Amino acid sequence: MSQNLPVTKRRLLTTAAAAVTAVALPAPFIRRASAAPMRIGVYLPYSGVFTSLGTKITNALELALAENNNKLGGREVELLKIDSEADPSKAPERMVRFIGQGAEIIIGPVHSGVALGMIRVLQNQNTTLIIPNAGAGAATGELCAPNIFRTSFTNWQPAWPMGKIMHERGARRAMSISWNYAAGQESVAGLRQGFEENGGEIVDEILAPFPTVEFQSYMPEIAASDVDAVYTFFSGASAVQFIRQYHEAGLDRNIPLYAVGFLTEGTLDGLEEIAEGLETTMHYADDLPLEANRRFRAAYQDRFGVAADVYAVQGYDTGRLLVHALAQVDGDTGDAAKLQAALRSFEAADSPRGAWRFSRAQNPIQDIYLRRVSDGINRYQGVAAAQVEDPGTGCAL
Amino acid sequence: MFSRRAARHGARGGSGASADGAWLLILVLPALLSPLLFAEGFELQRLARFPIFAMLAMSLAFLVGSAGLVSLGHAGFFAAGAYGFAMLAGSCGAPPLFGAAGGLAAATATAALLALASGVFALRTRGIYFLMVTLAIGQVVFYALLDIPFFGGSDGIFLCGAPAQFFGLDGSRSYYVLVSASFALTVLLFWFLRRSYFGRLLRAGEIAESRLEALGYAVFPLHLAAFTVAGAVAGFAGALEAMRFRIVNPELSDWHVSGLLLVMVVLGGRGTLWGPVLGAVLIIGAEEVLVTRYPEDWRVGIGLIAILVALYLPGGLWGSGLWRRVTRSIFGRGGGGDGDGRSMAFAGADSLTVNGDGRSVALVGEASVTSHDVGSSERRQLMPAGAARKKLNDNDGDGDGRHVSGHFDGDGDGDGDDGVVVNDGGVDGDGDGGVVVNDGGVDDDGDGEGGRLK
Amino acid sequence: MSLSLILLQLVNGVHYGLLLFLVAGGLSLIFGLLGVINLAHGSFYMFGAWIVWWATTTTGNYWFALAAVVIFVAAGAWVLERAVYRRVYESSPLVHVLLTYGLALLLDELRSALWDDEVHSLAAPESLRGFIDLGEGLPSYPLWRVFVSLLCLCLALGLWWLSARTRLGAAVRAGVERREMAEGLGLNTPRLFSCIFILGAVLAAVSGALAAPISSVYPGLDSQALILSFVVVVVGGVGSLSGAFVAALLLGVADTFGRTFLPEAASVAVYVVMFAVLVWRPEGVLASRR
Repeated sequence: MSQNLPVTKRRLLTTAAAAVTAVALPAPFIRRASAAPMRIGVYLPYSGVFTSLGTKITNALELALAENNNKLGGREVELLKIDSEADPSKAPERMVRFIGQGAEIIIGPVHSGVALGMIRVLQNQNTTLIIPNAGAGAATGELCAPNIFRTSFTNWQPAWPMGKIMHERGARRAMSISWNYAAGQESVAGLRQGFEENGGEIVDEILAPFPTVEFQSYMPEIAASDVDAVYTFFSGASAVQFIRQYHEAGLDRNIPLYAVGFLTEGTLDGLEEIAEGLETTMHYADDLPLEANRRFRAAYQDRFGVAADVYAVQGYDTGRLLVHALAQVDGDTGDAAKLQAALRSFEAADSPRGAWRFSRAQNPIQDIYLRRVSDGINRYQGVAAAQVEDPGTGCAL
Repeated sequence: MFSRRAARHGARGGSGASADGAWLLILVLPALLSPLLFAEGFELQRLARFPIFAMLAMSLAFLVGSAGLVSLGHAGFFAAGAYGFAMLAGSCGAPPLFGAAGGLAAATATAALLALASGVFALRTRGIYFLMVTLAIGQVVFYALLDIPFFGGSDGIFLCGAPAQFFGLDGSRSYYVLVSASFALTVLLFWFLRRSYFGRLLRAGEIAESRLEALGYAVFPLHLAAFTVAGAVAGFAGALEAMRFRIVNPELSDWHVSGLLLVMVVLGGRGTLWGPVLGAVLIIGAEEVLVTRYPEDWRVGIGLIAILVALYLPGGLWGSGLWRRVTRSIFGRGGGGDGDGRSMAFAGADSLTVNGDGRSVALVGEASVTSHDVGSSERRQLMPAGAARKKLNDNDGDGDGRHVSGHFDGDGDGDGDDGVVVNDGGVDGDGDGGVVVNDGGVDDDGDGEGGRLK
Repeated sequence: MSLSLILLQLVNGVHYGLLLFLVAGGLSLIFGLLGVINLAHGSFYMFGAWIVWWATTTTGNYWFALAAVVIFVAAGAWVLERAVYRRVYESSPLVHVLLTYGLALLLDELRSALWDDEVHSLAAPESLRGFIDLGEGLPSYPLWRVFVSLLCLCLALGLWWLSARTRLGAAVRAGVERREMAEGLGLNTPRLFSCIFILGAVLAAVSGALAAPISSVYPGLDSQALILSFVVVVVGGVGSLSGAFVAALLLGVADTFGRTFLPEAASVAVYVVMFAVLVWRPEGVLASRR
């Protein structure tokens, strides 16, 4: 039985070494031929808590492309998808992988931390990045670059007009509660600025540990404080819990709750009367009275069997932006400066969210709407602030 | 009390050219360096993920395989090293405290200190407890990085300053060479540690802790040293990770990273030097392929791999029957293994003599505890240390827990008849050999002769 | 901070702890008797919440849905125990970790395939939607939370009775203390193991179902439940129900007060308690002296 075969073992290990090389090799050798389909890297979450956002953005992006016969500037389009897992630590190398696979444009992500990881690699590169959600101010602030565009918002943007609204509603002393993470802090900072500009005062800021689910222990503190408004930045599951627990603590009867729209986006299912009457600010409202919006919602509902929301709109606008810009450059992404100029020139006249265009820092200048939850829908109440531009602090573009 | 001379003799007498030796570096290193010929820039930085995770997996395998300590918080030390480097050598604003080399050292020290401090807590426990406590340590690191503003919060930190350059290479190439060299050094480190007196004592402790204690060795400091070394290497890998794309994030310490590391270690073969490297390469490679091919469902693939490894390959690939069969079918007759695993397992069996009561105890030598000893002592590991010790002592027969002896011929003849044998019923490949620990009381007569498998 | 506020936080902490006990109690039993580290335990909690949401929206009746949770999860756990877990009882913790880690990933994908990845909110049953008014300057307290706390207490008592007064309980205790001896005395361990595994899974699922109207239903429920129950088990001692009970209450209260008094380090509060207990009594707060 026993064969003493060091040589064959050596051979075995050569195999292993060969395997290492094999795994390592392919990416850099896949280079695009110029007439080949246009490859677009899509880096969105397809697992974990942000999955539904990733799916909606992808759906709407595909809808926009399908409306253009799945072609951009005359070239077929091939979407390369990778699950971002909402994990920033993997973002840089996934970008390298996209570039290795020949992606000419990259779309993503949902999560702010992931955005920063992507930018780390894509900064000073020719590959264009279009951010369809993540609101980290830095992406179009101190980290801005000619190849980085955003079709969604900065965390500051929808929060700032809320300060004025709260003041109009009679609030003078308010407190804020959000998760202790970057997006929450940026949003609260925007609100504080808007509220103080109008003469209000934020007397207390609660930062709940991320990603906590239990807010009950904060209710006594809110009840005990003598504020006349509470501002909050939560989304997804935490939003549902917060709204419900705020209601169950009886606080909504005495202290009105204000928030940016994420609180009530995709979270109203099952909340029923609890969420009724909540006022939020956002760059979109489900029943925005625009022909483009009606058309988009009908098409989306038709194709995917579910209602569109703000995330879908952001995905759709990303697709529309690509259609516009690549038509201008005839599908040639080789000249980065030309492509970037074409992207910058985009003016969304018929976006479902209303007209918007890029700011100097390449973030949308857009209307922020006031919405009110009624019958489980974020209903349009009017424009809270017209054509809001993020200050883009620190951006040298 | 152990005769050091005997130990040294054992070391010398160990198998010089086992399939699991450091000499393999001669083959692996060129393969590792070959991307320098065809890749550049970010692509090199991307590929560096393989050796970095191989280093991580090796450090965890040292804990798991040599000391029998299954940690589910290893990513915590990885992140500690990464943040240590980011804050000490990559800070923005004020000039950083250290350069790249100093930063690497400081980051390693940070992780080592953290491992030392948390090890004092964690090593009060054993088995399941240890696993859960280490998970908690990882979680504490995660939440500390996330919640304390000083560490940059959920968005992490961008490192400032230019990447280190040397040998006239550009940043990426210098970095890749650095990672490759670090990998080689890590291989040598663990190769040395596994053969060293320390490594032998560790393995002896894993196989028969009570006996080692009865011989006057305290297991706690041994384990603490191993935990610290593993943490330091993980921290070192973390510092390299921080240099890779010059960004750090709390997700580095996510417990899923620790879970995946365990999958790598077991898949490769935790009792071996090279198994973890193989495991890391396979898992990272699988992840790369799955996540691009099946972006929506790739976790099914990873989940299935973990389950299949647990059910059918708990001994790992390296040196296992399966691996041998696979390579044999590829390379024809006699490929890739020794047929029955014995010569590999016992190539370095040697003896350590005990002077105490004149009886001799032999503990298995180099490379001998390979993939065979799946879970050396399940029942024992279910209990915290104190209880375990008592129970084992009870089983030692004479009950005084002192006159423990074992008998081994220690001739290294590879016949598999002797040695400590773990009755695991696990994956032995061929079922004939291995190390047997008489945990269940077969050896209760205390003469040390029992427990032979055949 | 006034006394009434502190009392209220205490009530919140106890409520949280009681829910934790339900998840962790089952985990502790499974650890103690079966010796299996079950990283998929949080998945049972998650399935409890998702099934109760799905069945409530389908049938319109929460109580009916709760029964559905018990049936479905018991059946699922039975299948899993027979098909998978049974094969690894004798293996090392390492094998358990791998196996159950993989299972947890698969079960989450299964959840995603069965339903979706959205956030769903679920109202408490009609009859328990009210609030208790606590007076000026204090938030009102939802009836559902009171009910859940009481129900958890009842279940805890039931478990205690089961453990202390029944043959099954005696067998379990014997099995935890001296496994080989119990087997030697002819206890039918495979069937006992099945029972306990199913019991543990159902407890976790029921706790998920009870928490669903409070915490809502979403992807990612599993990890959160899992890690906290691990901490409870470590603090309470493996296999000890009373230990898990004390530990869960302790950690629930610690977490709640941590948020109030140390908001910046709140996530770490439970772990600090854990390390403190480890120094004081490494085998858990109520560990029997073996």
